[in-house]
Amino acid sequence: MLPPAFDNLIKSLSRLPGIGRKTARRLAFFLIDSPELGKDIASGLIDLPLVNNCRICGFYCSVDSVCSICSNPSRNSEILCIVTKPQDMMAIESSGSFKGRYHILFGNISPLDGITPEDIKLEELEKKIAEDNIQELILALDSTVDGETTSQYIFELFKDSVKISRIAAGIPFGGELEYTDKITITRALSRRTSLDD
Amino acid sequence: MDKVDAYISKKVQYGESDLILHLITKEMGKISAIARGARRSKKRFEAGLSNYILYSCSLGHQNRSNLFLLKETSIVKSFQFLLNSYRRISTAAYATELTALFMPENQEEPLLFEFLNHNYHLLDNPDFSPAVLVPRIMYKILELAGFPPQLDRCIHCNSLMPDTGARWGFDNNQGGVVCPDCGDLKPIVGINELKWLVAEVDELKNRRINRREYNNIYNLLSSFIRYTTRQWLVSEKFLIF
Repeated sequence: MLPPAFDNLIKSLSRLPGIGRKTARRLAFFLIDSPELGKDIASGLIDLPLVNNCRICGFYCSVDSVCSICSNPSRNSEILCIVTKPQDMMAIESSGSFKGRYHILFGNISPLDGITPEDIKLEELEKKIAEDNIQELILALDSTVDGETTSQYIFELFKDSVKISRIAAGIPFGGELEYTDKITITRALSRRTSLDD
Repeated sequence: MDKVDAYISKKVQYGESDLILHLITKEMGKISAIARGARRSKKRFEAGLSNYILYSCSLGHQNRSNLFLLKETSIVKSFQFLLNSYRRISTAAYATELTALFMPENQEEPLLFEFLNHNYHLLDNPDFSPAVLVPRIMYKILELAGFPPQLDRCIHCNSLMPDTGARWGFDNNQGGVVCPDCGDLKPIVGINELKWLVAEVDELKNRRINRREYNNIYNLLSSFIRYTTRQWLVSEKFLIF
């Protein structure tokens, strides 16, 4: 019943995560009624191939091949924050509390899923540590079993060549102890800090 | 609704926010369950349904599906010391995957479950080296699953392996050692490794094997498991000795 171009749009939209056939159809009808928005989205999609990965940290950047953080001379290049994915780096950046540089692993080691150290960006990290005068690694990986596995692996690998710390684990700000799970409470207690610090 | 204690052996993302879990349980053997909305909300699923944690699981049945419905989980036991070491994590992963491989589906198998549970506790104990546990885990799981390799007597003539430092070959097809009179196999294993392999955990401090003996017994069991199951365990390549 629908023209093929419109039907194709619905099919394409329904391939996006979180969008089923019905939602895709609703979006397609909305786009038909908003041609300017449709043009903007189309032009953004056409420009997507121009987005590259930064050759230093792996974050997304334009064709320059170095992102705005790695090319910023005021950032401390001796402290490297290790994160799992670009979104984690954006979360830390939005806090405004870190002025060093980043390295994105693009995954975590997972023995039960068969994701090996070779499957994530560890070789690049090793090269950076050997060549770039890195003084400290801050491990800011997911607070999950796979994040923990990756942290432990990185610690074993580089503990003799560089200072390694990791972000604190515990009760989130605004969180109530009563509703916190056992593992978080255990970790918060075992990794408690002195008020003098 | 059923309530079982379980370890998660595998997690598969399903749809937008669901997870399909392979669970190792005491009461029902290996089962699969779907946790609806588990990736979106952790409220009903403590610690986000992680591996290497013993959970109490509330299960429901679904119409027209073999998958159980995982309604809620709570932590029975977490293993914090285990999670502080890459070697311990990779050994726990291997023990979990190997147990899942031999665990029957939807059938009570308390011994295999208890053995896995016991090894999680050992791996959480700073007194035990994970490397020491690996071949013993392999041997015991084979034994509990009904595939014990015959290591003390020749599989053909039944003669006892002598206590003289002699080493015998191993026949994967027959599942046992072969004396020099019965076959010309490459000598691999001796009595010292066998005694170490079957010793109680408490006796290990007094019973040691060298690196070569360790590698031999590990390689023998690894090869026998692959031969018996025709499967390669993904977690095996993570083991560090």
